[in-house]
Amino acid sequence: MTFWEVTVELLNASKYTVGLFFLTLLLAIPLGMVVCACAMTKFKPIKYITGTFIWIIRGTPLMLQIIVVFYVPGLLFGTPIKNRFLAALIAFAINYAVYFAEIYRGGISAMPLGQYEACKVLGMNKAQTNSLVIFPQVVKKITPAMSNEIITLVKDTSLANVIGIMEIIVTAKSIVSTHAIIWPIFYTGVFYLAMVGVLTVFFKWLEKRMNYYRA
Amino acid sequence: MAFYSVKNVYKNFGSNNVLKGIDFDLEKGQVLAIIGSSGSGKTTLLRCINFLEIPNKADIYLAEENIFSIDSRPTPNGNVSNNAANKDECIDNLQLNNSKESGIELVKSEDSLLGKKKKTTARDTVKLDAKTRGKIAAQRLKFGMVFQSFNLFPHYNVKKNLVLAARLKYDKSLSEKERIQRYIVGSDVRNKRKAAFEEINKRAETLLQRVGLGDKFKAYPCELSGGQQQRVAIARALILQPEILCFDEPTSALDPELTREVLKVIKDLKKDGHTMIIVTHEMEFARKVADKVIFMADGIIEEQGSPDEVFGNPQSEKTKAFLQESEKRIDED
Repeated sequence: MTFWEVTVELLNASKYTVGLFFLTLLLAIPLGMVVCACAMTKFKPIKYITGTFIWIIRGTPLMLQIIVVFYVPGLLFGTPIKNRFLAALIAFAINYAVYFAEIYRGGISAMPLGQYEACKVLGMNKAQTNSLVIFPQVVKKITPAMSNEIITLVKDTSLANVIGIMEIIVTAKSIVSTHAIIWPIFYTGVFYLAMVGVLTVFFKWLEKRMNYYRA
Repeated sequence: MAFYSVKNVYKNFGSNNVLKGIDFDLEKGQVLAIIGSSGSGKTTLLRCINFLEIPNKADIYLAEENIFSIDSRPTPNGNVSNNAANKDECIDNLQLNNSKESGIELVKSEDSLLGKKKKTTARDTVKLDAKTRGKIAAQRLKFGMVFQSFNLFPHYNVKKNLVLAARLKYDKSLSEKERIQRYIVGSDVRNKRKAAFEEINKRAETLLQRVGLGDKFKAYPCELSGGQQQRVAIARALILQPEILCFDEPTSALDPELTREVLKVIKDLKKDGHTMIIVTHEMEFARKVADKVIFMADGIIEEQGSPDEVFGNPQSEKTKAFLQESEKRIDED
């Protein structure tokens, strides 16, 4: 196989990687807010249930979670998930929502009490306090941690191969075994580096853009 | 009756009794300085005045009106007392006597009826329902507050810091219908709102000039010195036109030079006729500017009177000791 043919094959396979990446972000960022709200509520039952849920998701490998999402519905209810990509997406979205939720929570708890008190004496209600004062500042505080997590997501997409999604690494491996050449597996690194490079530049730009104030 | 009158303020955090019955009066346009050593309850008193802490017992009157009454102290047998002394006098006003009906729930810190100790944090001694909290929020706007650590919103520039609350207050005054109409381009409500916001902008500009920062309209808090930030915070508190402006050690985070510029602004505000309550460690300032001085020790008012009385001729031993100590400190500097 020529270099060009391998590149085309791998590019073709990266559609799963890229697709999984963007769709996971799209779902996990808002879902993380819900998890975060549940984890921070004063209503104890929800708080404890969410705490247990976070413990389970953080405490088990993502690979296992993908397998569970793919096989368990079929085993329990006799309705297997036909779409492998969907199964992987659900597992990724839940897993990353939990990690994002913990980042959000960290950002919110890092807000000084004085900001809440200033809002209170200025007659702002809870919704106004959060939307106008707290959350805009939290976004800036959590950007470094979020970019770290999002970059990890790029590389974690390769775990989807456990349920047979033909993403970059699996594709390279099959080329390696069918054509008896080793270099395509090393070559996959370039694809990940390119994607992470784009993200790195983007987050640098974002952090700079939010640097108009220091807190 | 005095313009502002505070009676019987008690506040405890768990078993720690911080305020043990505070009474004082203040006339319109007067400046009250509260002095005392750390831990004497000065800041807690100021926070109770602002309702940042809800006192366990208090009766507060402003301009002949009972704006706040509460009595949720446990009686010696552990029950919430139902001491509704002036219940009939002010039915229309915020009336928090008689705990259960008015939505106050006392979280007992010790000797709970269940017989086991209940964990309480410093902030949840008195719990209020949503309606009561709303009423308190409305009363709170009558008091402006300037914090020791400024607490400006760092992500907004000076202008937005000033106008934000005033704009929200305007929107709050709109009716349900008007709140929808404000989004319709060309509607009367929208035009009126625009004019009102323009008015608020002008007020902000005037206030900023009043505190000597007319050229900092577009600056962000992080670009200002501590003294400038505190002056912005004063302007921000004034834009809501509070009846009484409260300062919680406004200069404690500032060096002497920056302290001077903030104190000068406070002096100017006195000339403008603002009623102010200042918790301070600046004895010289308190002596010169205040019309009335309160010296607090261990949660009670140890001595109160005119500056000349308290500073010039203190009666209580504790006051004498405190004043001597603070003079010594100045000499050592």
